[in-house]
Amino acid sequence: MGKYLVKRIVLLIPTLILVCLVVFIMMRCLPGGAVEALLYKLQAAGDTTATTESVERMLGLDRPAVTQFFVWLWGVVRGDLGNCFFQNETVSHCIGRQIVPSLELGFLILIISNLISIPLGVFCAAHQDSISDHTIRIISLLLMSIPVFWIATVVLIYPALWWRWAPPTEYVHFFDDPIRNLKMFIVPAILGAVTNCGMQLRYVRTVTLETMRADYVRTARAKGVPQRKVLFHHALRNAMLPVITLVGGSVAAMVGGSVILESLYSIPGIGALVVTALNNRDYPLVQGCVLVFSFIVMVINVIVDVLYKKFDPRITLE
Amino acid sequence: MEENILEVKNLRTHFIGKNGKQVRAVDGLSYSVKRGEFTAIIGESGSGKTVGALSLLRLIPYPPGLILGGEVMFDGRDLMQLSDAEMEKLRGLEISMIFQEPAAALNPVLTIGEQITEAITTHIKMGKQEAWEKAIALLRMVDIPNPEERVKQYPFEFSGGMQQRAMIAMAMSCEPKLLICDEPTTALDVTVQAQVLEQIDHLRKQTGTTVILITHNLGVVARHADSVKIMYGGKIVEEGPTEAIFADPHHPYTVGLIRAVPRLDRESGKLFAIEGEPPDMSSVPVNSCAFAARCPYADERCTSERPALTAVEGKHRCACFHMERVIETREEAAADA
Repeated sequence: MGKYLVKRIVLLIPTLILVCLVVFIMMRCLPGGAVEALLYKLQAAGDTTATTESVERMLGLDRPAVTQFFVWLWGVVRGDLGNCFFQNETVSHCIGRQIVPSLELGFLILIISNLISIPLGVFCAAHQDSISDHTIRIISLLLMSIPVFWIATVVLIYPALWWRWAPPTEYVHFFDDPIRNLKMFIVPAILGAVTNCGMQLRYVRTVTLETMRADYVRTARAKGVPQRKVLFHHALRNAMLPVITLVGGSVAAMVGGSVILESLYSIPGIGALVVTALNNRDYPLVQGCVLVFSFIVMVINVIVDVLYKKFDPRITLE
Repeated sequence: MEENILEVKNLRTHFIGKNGKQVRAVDGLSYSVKRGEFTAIIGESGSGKTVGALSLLRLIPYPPGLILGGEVMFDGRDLMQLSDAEMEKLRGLEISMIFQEPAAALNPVLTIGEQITEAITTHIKMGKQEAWEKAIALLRMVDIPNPEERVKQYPFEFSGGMQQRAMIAMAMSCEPKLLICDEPTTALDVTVQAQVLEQIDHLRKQTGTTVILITHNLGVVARHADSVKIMYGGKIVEEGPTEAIFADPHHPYTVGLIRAVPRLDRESGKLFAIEGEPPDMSSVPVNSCAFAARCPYADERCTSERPALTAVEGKHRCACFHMERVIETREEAAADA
């Protein structure tokens, strides 16, 4: 087990280097450049001495691409992701500041959506084809089909119109003022969870139904094990195996942040940051964000694999 | 010994399809089993033998399956009248079942020990440690080597034969009065098949448990069973003591089944097969012999009236209108050979 973990972590390194290379090349392939944008900005600010060459030199873009890559990579190895082109701060600092609210939102969405989807999915499976099963499934289908931007807008506008209530728009750190922080996050978290859980609920229902029809469930019933215990002890334990994979995947998706929810609820998250950085062609910032995303996704994958081993004795980690 | 432990009367289990089509999987099944007896129920796939056995324990998944009626008298009680809770108490304690394909019938994420102790503690008040010791003893009883270590392993670490023996240990853990084995050897190698059946027979003699063996393997039956019931189209078409059925079959289907067994002691070219396919029990008319469509002796009466089981000799009974003609042809064929 320990040996396996070491192996997996060592293997992360070449993968991350590959990610660095790909994202570096992709950024340089984008049309339009940071140089023109920054030059325009400087000139607008009244800096008449700025020229294309001087800006290029300032950003380090005058050197050959290969050199640029290795300079950046060497920085990454030392934990230095470079400086933002447009803000006067380091990339690590910028990401560190913006990723916290995103992680919080993602974490809340994940918890709420699992709290909804897993119990309800199992409930639907246990009461297959009952009225409650049909109702829950229709609602989940509805929630799956509603676009987040629409429902999020509606939920933002109407309480404001009717009761003059809106969530706070100023971000406070959770540890500074948890209540104010949750006031801001709870509505987008529920919205994200509700739109996210429909698919998962249906999936949980399907796999639970499948395991409930398995031979070993019949064996347990033939042993005289009570229905409820058969469901929780035999069927659910097996049904949770594929669900772990699904949840692991959605964790990875959460990390990227929800651009729509973040911008509608003025959450200073990483989703909005990446979009701005991409529009500005802020090479180091985009590269840094992508690198951090991939790192988190890879770590989650390792965690999911280890969890899988915990739940399924048939898996051997080699 | 002469008392019946199980009497099934006119049991009917149907499967109802989405289009309203009713498949009469078990269609008026009646038989009785004596205490301590080794009974074999033989039939081809789709003859209703498994559904019939699952119906006894009321383990038919609904929907689509539904037990429509009948009586199952077990040890003086009608199982069809018991409450669900009473039925749960009875399963595993008084009637146990062994299934085909042990690899699928054992839960892959629980250890063998956990699964056996669950069977014990569900019915008997016993400490965890004590139940665990009993599980080890049970594994030893079914000849699993090194049971102290094996009990901690998962089903995938067992071979097919060992899995089935672990299933037997689990089924026998509460010393049931009746053990139903549903094709216990189907997924196993031939040599392992013999061992597993030997095991079942041995335990039966030791504990006095009544055994119903569901199979389509006639060789197995001839060796172990005291009596045989031939099932076709959801009901018994012929039953009797094993020797009588093999030496003197009266039903054309039984004759066909026995002829279809490959013989090593005889020069034979092609294997014999019964013409046609198993009946679709949604389209066979209720008032007809289910075998009529494949039967060389079938006439008008066979398609308009259902033959009842009638005594042939002693306990040997057969449900056919043309028994005399069957025997005639059979004797002619024997004379030719």
